[in-house]
Amino acid sequence: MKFLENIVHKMEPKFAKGGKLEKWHPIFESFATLAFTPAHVTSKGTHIRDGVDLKRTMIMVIVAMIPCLLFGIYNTGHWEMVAAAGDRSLDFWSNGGEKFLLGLAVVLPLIIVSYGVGLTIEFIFGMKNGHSLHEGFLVSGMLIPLIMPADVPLWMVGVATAFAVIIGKEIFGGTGMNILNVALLTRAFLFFAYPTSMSGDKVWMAGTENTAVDGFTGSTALGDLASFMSEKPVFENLAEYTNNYSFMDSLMGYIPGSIGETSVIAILIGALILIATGIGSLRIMASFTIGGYLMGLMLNGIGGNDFLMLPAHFHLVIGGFAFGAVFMATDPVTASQTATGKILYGLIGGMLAILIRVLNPAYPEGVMLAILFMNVMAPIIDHYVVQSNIKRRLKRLKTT
Amino acid sequence: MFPFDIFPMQLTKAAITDDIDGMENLGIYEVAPEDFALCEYVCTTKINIQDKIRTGLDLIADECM
Repeated sequence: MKFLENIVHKMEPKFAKGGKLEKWHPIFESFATLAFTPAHVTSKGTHIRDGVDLKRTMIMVIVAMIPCLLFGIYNTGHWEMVAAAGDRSLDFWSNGGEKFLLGLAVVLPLIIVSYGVGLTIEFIFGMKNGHSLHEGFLVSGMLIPLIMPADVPLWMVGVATAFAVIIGKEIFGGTGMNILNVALLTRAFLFFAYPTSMSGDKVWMAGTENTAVDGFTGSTALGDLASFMSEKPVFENLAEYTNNYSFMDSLMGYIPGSIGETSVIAILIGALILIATGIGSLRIMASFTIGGYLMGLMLNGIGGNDFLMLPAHFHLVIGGFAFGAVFMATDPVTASQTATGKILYGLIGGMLAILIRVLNPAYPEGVMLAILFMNVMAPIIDHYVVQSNIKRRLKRLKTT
Repeated sequence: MFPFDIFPMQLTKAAITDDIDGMENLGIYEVAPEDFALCEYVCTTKINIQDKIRTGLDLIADECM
């Protein structure tokens, strides 16, 4: 380690102002501070500072995503095997190593493309504007593969990432200035630009096209549920649905879906890490979940068809709801920033997510749209929270 | 972190942007720069918040007194 540090320090003058490689300073700094503590110290104000900075924060989020990633890889492999055999009753935990490798072959290229495209754009903007690499993409680049269907073509991921990073973030001034969550924007872009690759029953398992059995579909729990609203539902009634996708299976994640979103257990481990380190907002996670649950109960009360009658707790474990609540809604940049605002933001977001999911069968994945919508609304929520504080202050001033 | 009924981040933002009305509304008269020491300690971006508040207070002193 000492040896590496010496090399880095020896290289430093070359990248400093006036040095030979001045232009490349942002890139040098990004890598140097990833591994070593930079030399500058506080000059005024509080001289003791907390060890956490943006880079450490982001790395902590990635650590929290590791359980989802590992489970996602395994799950992808499992469903690829299922698709090849055309048999959904395959045992989940047998042939573990092979499944993991199969999944890795699908997920790893996605991760490489998303990081490759995103970081290249970040570096270009960094060099152009003379600032160091914005760390925000470290997390977005990992989130993007986790919310993709397994069968999505790599070039689409590349295009969508480029779109989201340039239009969604760099135009506004980079990390911390974006209005919409970058990872969700990537998904939304694909969802509306290439709907056939992002929805339906073909894309959720890698290799459904070479299935051995005719008529085998790779449909997800949500897709099957949404078909209750159509003329030809996949299942006759709700009991048949819960037979196929039991609550336990959905909770553990033994269901097809986007790569990282299926296992609520893995997501909960991530949530615990985020809450314990104080990085993720418990307020948002809790209120988002409560909002979704309340909306589920309300729709149960209305009733009418089998999708509306789905018990509310099922909504929390299928689709991207849990993943959205923990990793997407809590994005500190795009969420509300005041404590009261966060609770409102989560509640409304969770309710909208389930509302869109159930009442608009064309968009069963309402979580994505709900969070993007709430991202846009967050500044307004904050505005009113701040205004109420101002009013309170004026009132206090008048009475004294 | 911040025991008063004040939004430290919004107040700091107002101070950075020289927004005198904003600062007054958000309660700049109720704070001293040292009140922000803990905020400065935890700040992820290592912004010198006390310094920003001091500048804001000085600006108000120049403009309004």
